[in-house]
Amino acid sequence: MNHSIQFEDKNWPSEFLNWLNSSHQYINPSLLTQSMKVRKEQCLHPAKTLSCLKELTHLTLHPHQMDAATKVVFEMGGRALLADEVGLGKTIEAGLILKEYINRGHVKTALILVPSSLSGQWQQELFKHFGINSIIHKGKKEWRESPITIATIDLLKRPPLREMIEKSHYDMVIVDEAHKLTNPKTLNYQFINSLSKSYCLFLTATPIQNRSEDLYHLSTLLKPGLLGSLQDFREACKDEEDKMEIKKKLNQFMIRTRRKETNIAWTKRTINVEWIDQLPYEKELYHSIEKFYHAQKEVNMHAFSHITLLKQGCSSIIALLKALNRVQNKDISSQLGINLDVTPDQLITAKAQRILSFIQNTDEKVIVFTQYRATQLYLSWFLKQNNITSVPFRGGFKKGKKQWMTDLFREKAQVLIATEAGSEGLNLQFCRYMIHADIPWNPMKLEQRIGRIHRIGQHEDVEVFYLLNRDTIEERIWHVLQEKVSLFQYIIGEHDDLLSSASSKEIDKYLEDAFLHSRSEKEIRLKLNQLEHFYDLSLNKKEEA
Amino acid sequence: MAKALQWDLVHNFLAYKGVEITKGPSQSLVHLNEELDRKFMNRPFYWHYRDATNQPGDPMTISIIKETTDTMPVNAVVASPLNPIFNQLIDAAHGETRWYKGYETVAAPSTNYAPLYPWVVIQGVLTTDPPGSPSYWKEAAISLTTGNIKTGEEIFHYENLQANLPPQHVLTAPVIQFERAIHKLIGALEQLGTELFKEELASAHSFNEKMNPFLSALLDHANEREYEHLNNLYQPKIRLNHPMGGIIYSQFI
Repeated sequence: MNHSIQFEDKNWPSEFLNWLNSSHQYINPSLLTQSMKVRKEQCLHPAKTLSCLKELTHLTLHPHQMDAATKVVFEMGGRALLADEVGLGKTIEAGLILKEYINRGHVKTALILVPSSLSGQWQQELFKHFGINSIIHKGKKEWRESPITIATIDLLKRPPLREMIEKSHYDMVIVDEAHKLTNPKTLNYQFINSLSKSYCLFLTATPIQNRSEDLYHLSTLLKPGLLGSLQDFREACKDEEDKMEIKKKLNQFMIRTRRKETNIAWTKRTINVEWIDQLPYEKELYHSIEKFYHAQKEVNMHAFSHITLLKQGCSSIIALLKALNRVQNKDISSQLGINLDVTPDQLITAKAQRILSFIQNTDEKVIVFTQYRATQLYLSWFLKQNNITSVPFRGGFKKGKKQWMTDLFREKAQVLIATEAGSEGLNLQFCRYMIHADIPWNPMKLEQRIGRIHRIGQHEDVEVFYLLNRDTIEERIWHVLQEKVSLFQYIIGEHDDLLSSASSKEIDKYLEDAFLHSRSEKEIRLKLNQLEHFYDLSLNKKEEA
Repeated sequence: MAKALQWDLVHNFLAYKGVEITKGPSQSLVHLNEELDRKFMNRPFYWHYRDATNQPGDPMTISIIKETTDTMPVNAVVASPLNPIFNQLIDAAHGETRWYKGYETVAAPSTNYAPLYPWVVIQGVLTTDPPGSPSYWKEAAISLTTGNIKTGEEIFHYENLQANLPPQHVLTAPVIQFERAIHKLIGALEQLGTELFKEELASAHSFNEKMNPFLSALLDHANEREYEHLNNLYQPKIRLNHPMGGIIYSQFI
């Protein structure tokens, strides 16, 4: 039956005809009128209004979330990069958009690709907030029956699942933590590119990792051709006028809300820096490493890895001992002239004691972050010796275990000890204390960590503790960072000035280089000075423009 | 308002299905029948076991409650769109009225047998693609005797329809074929939509033009499947959501 009007179910007119030609069923008139009334109440809405809001009366949506969903559905054609700052509720925005399209009959199948640690959280949030049922794809067959599938890219990007997924068409594809799609040479990127999809949402708080080109590659997946060729884009980023044109184009597919732009009454964030004196053995071990490197420096046999070792020494004794035990460090450990065969009592660090006393003096939940797995295990053991149960969280856990650990922390344990894997995407706003047992020197990573607790839904003031060892590399680097405070304000505050020239966006890379690959603190300082000089220059250029 | 309407719809549906209901102000006790238990209670193993052992099953008794409370009754179904069982009940109720047939009653027939004339009706939520326009509840009805077409929001008094032919009424045979009638009705709804959404369709056309370079780029990247889906989605058109269709024997010709 040919007709030009669009029905949700294309066969509706034919089915109606078949029904008319068959023996008709009788109906209950009161059921009929009731059904019509419900439809009218639910489905009638003014122009450019999200119809699903009538169903979501239990949900308190923030204006920026509603604006984002409205813009994506009515202006962007359902293909967008949701790049709000950490903790502003990107998942809720994506859920809202998905729900709206489902209600309008545009989306029947959706594929949601998330890091494995977040799949359970996504499933829960979709059901709890939007009443959307989904299934987590674990490589078995049941996913085929579910219209809404949650999976990890890593699981699907390889054969044979890849072929199966590529054969299907998805009305909507959502990719969380989409900053992992900024390199077109990777399998992740190619997999997303090969999916047949109608609507597509990318979620990331850091759309630019290192270069402005990252944005170009994300746009190519969402709206190919919008930013022209890569060469044109590179050229345009160098010219102020062209840059304005690109910004306009970016607004056609990217939504970025910053914390300060919202009218949310954020709770207070207090940063406490605590200086800790190392315990005797800890100090002795640390200084022996430092002494060894000074000696090496004098004979010009200096290696790159010394800063890493010193940082490990500031994290925990066990982290340093584990590093020294590695084959490549055997020479160093043999020349230190210190006993490395220690008793459990000697492993105790001043930081661990401080963490213990903090936890013992509060009944509230506490998150401890460390960069090193050895420190994580040690802290967990140390707290257990003092009758405090903690749950670990790290990247190596399977997704089920990650979800379980988060649930245990929410419902049972007082302490969560997480490595860097816990800094992305988790909603832990039921906790208000965070301790950094060691510090990642990339401020964006620090912001990601704090974003786990200082986000929408946090009703209490948040307290963040940095534990820093006195008279160690931590103290010296901290002072360098204090001196360069304007530089870091620029990095954190202006990081989302996404179209600064490509080179300035390599700041992260420079920082990493400065802190991890410098041979000396002098070199770190020199590199940061250069970076600061560059920043001043680019700022002056901006003012002139 | 919407919640109260959904509450009534579900109760109406359960009563229509012949289920025992003990109604209270904020809670109803419903003893399901086998058909509804099998369909909504998600107990495939229980029913499989009963069937395999050739024993009759014992359908569940559920409590439909208006709000979540601290002390929830056993087998509680909260009347919320977020509750999957309640949602399924609403969908089933709508499904039951997807097609309908009803009879009008002539108040005081002048002769012994009052004639009733067949009308085919289509109604639903009229809106546009891509999303952005308002939505309207619209109906179109065609007389199968004369070909007369009516459009509006409530052409018949549905609450007064009878499920069976009332006594002393007689049916008139249709002249127009059903297929042609449906075709005419869809055409009428489309015309109605074109007038209603004049501005929205114009802006949808300009949106489509804005999307054109992007769509062509998809073709350049050999994403034909994606191109076809998106091209179809961005193509301005009138849409009838949640359509319902029926035949009504009316006193009017």
